Amino acid sequence: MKITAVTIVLVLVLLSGCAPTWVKVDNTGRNYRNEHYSITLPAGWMRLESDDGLILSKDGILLQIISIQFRPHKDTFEKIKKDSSATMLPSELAQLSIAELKASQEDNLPSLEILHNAPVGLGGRTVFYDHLRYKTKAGLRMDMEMRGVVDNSGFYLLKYSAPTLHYFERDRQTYEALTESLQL
Amino acid sequence: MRHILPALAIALLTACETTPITPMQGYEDMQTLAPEESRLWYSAAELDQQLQKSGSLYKDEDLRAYLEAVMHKLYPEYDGAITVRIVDSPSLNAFALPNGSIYINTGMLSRLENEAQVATVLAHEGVHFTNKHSWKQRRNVKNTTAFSTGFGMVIGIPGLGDLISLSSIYGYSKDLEREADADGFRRLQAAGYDVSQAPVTFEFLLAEVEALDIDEPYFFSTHPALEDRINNFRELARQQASVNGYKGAEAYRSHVDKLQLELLADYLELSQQQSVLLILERQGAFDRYPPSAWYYLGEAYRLRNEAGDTERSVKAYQTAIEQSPGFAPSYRALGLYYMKNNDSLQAENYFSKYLELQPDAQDRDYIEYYRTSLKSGE
Amino acid sequence: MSHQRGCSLLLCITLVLAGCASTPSARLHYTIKQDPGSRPLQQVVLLPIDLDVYELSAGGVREEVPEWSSSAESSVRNALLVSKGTGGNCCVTREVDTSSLTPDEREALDEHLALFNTIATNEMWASLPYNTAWHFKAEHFDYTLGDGLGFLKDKYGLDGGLVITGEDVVSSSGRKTTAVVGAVFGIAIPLGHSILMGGLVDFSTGDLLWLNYEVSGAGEADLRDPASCLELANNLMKDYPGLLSADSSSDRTGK
Repeated sequence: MKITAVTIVLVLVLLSGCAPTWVKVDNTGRNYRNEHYSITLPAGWMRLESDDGLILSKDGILLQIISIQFRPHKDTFEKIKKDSSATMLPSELAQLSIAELKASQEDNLPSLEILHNAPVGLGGRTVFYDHLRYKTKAGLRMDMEMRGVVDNSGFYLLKYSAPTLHYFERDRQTYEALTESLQL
Repeated sequence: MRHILPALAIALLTACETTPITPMQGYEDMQTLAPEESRLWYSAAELDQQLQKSGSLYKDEDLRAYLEAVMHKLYPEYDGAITVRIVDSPSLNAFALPNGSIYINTGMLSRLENEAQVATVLAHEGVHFTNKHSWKQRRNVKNTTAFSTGFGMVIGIPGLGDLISLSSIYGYSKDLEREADADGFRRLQAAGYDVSQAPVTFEFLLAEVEALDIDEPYFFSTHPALEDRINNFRELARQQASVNGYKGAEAYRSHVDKLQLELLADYLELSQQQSVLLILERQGAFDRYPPSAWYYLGEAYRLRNEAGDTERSVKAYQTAIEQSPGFAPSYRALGLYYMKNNDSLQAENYFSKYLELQPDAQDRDYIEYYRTSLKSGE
Repeated sequence: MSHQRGCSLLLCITLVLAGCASTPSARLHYTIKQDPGSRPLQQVVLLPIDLDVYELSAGGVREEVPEWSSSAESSVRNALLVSKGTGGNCCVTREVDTSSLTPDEREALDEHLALFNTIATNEMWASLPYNTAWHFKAEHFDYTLGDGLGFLKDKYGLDGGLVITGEDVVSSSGRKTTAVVGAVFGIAIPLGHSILMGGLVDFSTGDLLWLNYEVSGAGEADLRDPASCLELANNLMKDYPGLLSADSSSDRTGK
């Protein structure tokens, strides 16, 4: 299930009784591996596996959410109907990821600000790194960090989102430590 | 009969609102509101605030003042009390709130060609306000659902009332839209505008809807279909003894020039390259757009990525450089093209020129990374 | 009505009306549970109340009635400010004068109230019956709004703030008639509800020390009626921990 800013969708799924299974990450369960990547998860956080990827939160999905997604090169960006490729440049991936984020919201996120957009090193590769900010309809500022990279099999996207007030900075280092542990 | 009686009982007992709703005549009528009407104004004021807080509004006081001046020409008896605000959205939309707040999207503004066309849209929206269409629609919804709920119960489908209510809320009824078209047309004529522009306003919007193969945009969702409206306006224009009036092409363009380029950039940011192609491939487009628009055309071809598009995009970037040599992004685009085609020398030339023209470029870090990669042969 | 507040109220109503749970019990910051005397607040004030009252038409169309909303806010405000004298449990004696705030301060306050609504929604989500993995959040209640409201402490000498939000959906006579006839056919027609949500914030730390909800079904409460507001407010504040200084020590346990 796609993770979007409107998490009420997830809530309604829960209300319908199709409750996904959250699991606490303990010290023995920190090393996560699947066919595409391995990563070290933060202890004490809650973890949820979905078709779309891995979701992590400590206080609840409205207060912070980390997602790790892998998508094959075909129909990578569903909303804007674009594919990715193994040879795409980091700046191109950043552009498409931001376009996909905007297109996923009804109003195209007119308040979206790009605070930082640059290439960074990650696991021996160069990935794009974006720090974004937008406002919800209720007037709450939200910060989001995205890091993304491609290889021959597909596109990897790591996202972290939390309210700007207090929560984003508080867990930012946890997210960055997690991204640094990513192995493709 | 047994089943009809309860529905009739509901309809009678849930007495429909019948206070007559009469159009406003001017500013004075905005000062006294019926209780039902004041609830709508309150909701409208809340929506105004929400739109302002949300960052959805496009900030260009000069353009806004210009549009309000057009509105004042159309509705002089309201003493400037009808406000016009611009929504920062590339979609084709305009709407009127019951309290006299009119909103028009940047997407709509960028498509229109002259003042007479924007006056067509504003005149239409103004009628929704002066003739209290929100109130009429709301009452229609409440009365319809009251009866429908009863009827729905009779036929054993609870919640039917809610479904009808929902479908009516999205836009005004066709009758109200036709009224807005007709009264708006009269306003246009009275203000001295070229009424032959009224059908033109919708002709090219129809062309866009068809070319992009999209459902008619929200503005038109319960509007009479675009073709009906075009025919209606053509008939109204034909009936006038003289259709010559003020077009205001230059005045309009001088206010929306900056906006037009920004919209092209917005479309590309959303990867809506088809909209850019539709605008810039139209005959005469480059009479209305500055030469730097060739860059956006190039980007649209690059994003579309169909057979032959790479060559088209390169040609467009080169034209942009020839005609607008100070416009930096064209150099970046060619730098990226040559880099992907392993021509390091050309790539470095163009990247270097890009950063020379725009030393504070937001993507400087990316370009420097690419330059370093080229030098190291990666 | 804020979008986020709407989500938390939707969750609340859905839980109660579906019979999944009674109104969730009050939440208390884990430090207070461990040591009730550990978080005394000297001055607790009422932050701007946000209540909306809607009328529900026969066909289920919801429309806010601004004069009812304004009246409900006054009634609940009065109920909270006089609660002690009428056997209630509240302790606030003043409210923040928003007209004395600068535009930046008002914006900061509004954003923190939006964050409060987000936290309340999150807590409701974490408390859903089948979300058992998250129930630890209720047991170890440790939410915070951050220290961004410290300006209220500095500027006005205030230690903490009471946040009150809610809504009331009142059926029109047409809706009630529809329900009566519907009952004949065995069709349930929702008639409305009243909800109050309250939270206590420590301005120094931003910690949410207490959170509670009071939900009533149709006909049980009416925020247009001052007496009903008093009863709803008293019920909301029943488990309020007080947390006053020694000169009001009888209120410390909040009982």
